[in-house]
Amino acid sequence: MRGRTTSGVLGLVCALGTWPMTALGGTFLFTEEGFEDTIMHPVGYDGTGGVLEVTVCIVPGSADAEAMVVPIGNVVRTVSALVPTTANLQLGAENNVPPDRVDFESVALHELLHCVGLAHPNLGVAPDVDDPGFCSSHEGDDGEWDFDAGDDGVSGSGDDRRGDDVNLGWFQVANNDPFSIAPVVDRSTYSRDLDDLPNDDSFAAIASRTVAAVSAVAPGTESVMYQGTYLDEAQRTLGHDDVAMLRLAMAGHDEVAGTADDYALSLRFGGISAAGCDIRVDMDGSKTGFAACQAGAVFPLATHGSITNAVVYFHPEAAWFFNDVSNATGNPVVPAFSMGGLAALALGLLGIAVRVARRRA
Amino acid sequence: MRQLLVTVSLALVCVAGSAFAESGATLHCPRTAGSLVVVFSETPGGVSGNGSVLRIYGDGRFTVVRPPHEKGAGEWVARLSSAEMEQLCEALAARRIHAFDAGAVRAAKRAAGGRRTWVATDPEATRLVLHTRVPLADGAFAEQEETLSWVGLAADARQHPEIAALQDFAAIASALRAFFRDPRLQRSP
Repeated sequence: MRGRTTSGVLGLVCALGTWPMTALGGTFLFTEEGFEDTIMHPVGYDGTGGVLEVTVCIVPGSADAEAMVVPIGNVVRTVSALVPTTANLQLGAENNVPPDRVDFESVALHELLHCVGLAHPNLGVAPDVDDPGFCSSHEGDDGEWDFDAGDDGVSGSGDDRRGDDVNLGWFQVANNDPFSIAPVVDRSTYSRDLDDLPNDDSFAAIASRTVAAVSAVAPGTESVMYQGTYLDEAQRTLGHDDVAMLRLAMAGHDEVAGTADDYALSLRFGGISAAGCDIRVDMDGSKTGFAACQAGAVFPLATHGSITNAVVYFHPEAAWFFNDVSNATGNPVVPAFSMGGLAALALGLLGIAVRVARRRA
Repeated sequence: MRQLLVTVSLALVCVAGSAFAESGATLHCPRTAGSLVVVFSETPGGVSGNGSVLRIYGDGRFTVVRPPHEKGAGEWVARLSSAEMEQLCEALAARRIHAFDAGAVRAAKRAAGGRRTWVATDPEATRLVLHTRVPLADGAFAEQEETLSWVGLAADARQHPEIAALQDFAAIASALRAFFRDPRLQRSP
């Protein structure tokens, strides 16, 4: 019951167009392809505000097409709900994933977020990188990585010392806290410029489970976009960082929340279909060794691009587990709702009121 | 399998590579039972842990270790014929794959410029270990192990058809990848 009440409150807040609580710094697709300063938008966004509907379909004839229906439907609803959560990693007995399987739904959520424009907050699998947990970046002018995890010894936290490495991660200007979200998410509250870091922080922090462990955040909290999943691990709800990056994009081309070019992302599940699909989902071992989003894009502005086509591929020989429990009628997305969260909610609503009043003035 | 290797061999002959190290080393393809000729692995970006690992020995025996996140996880074993081994070694030598120079390829990519307007996320990390012989002043040879690695090989090969070394590495990787699901493979006893 409490979950439903909470969901109702959350729905109201989302309807008001803001999300005042925890989220953190992430990156956008194509930063690694030379578009470092570019914010990516889903297919169909051309600078016009309103509801942006993106249809997701399973390719007819794909292996395991029927088995993908429930988990893909769940993913579509999860992304559309835009609810940030903590403790979103369920391991072992906490989930319904067999010990020797990989949760298809969790991987699909990660890949679908790629296909609407998000990238990894962490370096992940990269050339000459032994620790995938550092913040997404480039080597800088010296052409070499500078990896120093700082005093806490945890890669990806705010005290990392990265020399001349170039930061690619967006962080919350007020606190560099990847486990919280600004009351208003736009260019005024998020930055990539390390000069905007608060306090004594030296690099953008990312929402990994190891950073959570030293940040007094609920155990088992991690951004969905953090690269690298494990057997017997379910991660079926969004982290604050994931929501923050989606909302940053939804502030539109002017990068200011609350203006006419803002959009609300709404995913629609088109079922097993070849018609009218913006993002297709397919099993094809020739396209990936595990899972991937392959996407094309256009860049109408220097700092904004939009996906033009996208396919999520999965390898049919991976040991997938297909969740058969729909989240359509239950309470699958239950964010942590503490006193701190309520306070943040109040601050967020206050922030909106102030912005509206200023605009009217 | 034989057909595959022949195809690869024939396709290999003509590409002139620019991003190769010129050390005078030649591919060493030992034909004794315990000698490793090739170790090839591809680690997917989206899942933690290792990917599949292929080991080919000088007597033609090859093993595939499939990781826990794949169906049929564990070690599998099969054997190439002598002719197939010969073709494999010829293919590797023809591509001069042992001389692949990752730094030179990165420089060639930078020189090519341009920004990519399509992306394939969570790319594999491809790793290939070979053995070479380097000529010494006294006429003898020193044997060396060479490790080649690249992240996002397929996407970069598609993006840069002008970089021969990338095309060579991608072609070899494609041929070796086929061994991961070779129909002759049997569960290792």
